[in-house]
Amino acid sequence: MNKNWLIIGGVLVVAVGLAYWYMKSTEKDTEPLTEEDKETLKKIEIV
Amino acid sequence: MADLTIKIPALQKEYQQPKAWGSWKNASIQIVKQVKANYGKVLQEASNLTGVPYNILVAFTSVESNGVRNESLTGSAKGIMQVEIPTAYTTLKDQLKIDTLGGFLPYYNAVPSLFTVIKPIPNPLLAYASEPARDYLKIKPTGVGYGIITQNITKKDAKLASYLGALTLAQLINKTIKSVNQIRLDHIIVKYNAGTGAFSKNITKKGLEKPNVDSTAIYNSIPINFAARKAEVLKAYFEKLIGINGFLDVQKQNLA
Repeated sequence: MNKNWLIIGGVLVVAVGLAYWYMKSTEKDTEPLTEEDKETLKKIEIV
Repeated sequence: MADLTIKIPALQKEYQQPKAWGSWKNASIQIVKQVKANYGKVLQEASNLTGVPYNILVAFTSVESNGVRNESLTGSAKGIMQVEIPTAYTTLKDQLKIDTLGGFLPYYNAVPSLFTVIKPIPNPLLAYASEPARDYLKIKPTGVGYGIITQNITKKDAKLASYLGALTLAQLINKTIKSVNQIRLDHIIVKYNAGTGAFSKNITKKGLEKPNVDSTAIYNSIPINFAARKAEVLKAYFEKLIGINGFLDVQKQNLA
């Protein structure tokens, strides 16, 4: 009985780990720019 | 409302130039002048296309190419902004929409009703692509788009690489404005030079991605978890780009 719970727990931990890894690996810093984004970028000022 | 001002120099440190260069200030002025003379037109077009201010593109190009008119430079990164072209193509495909019926044409011919055909967005980038722009297919109803040209990218696309560099920069800047409500070139430098993985490891995880953490604090944190050589290059990037008499500073002083 205890052994079964250990296996189930182990599988769950691996599944959560994989889900987290997948989420992190698909996180992007490069999302398509909208026209509004471009207008914002044009307002950057160097002082 | 985000604060969109960049205070230059953001880093109170001057670049320690090699002895052969003489004065760093003069070297910096010369490099910026050279970049503007050689690539000013291309960078102005890229600025119009992406919204990234021209002087920022000139500054990044100055660091990446040192003003050298050698479009291939070394390694797998290409062009005056040193972009990994296939990676950039893949990453930026949503923006480019340059492909193509490509390998899906037979399926489209068989069951056209399964697809939505999207015309390429008129885009000056296309003038520099290896292949002409064609229609772009999306499968109904998933909206999944397919296909992008990642092969046939050669040195002749170096000009395209500068656009890809500008576009990458635009997206990184946009993201950083959205996350910290400020324009943070120090964050962009780390992401552009060392990659977003390194940024996450060394900045986000160290709790440094906050509006009240200044460029000097980020600069001082660089050696953490970095190989010595990488840290040195990244520190020099900070000094050249946002330091005293750096590529942005000399432009602000109207010296180049």
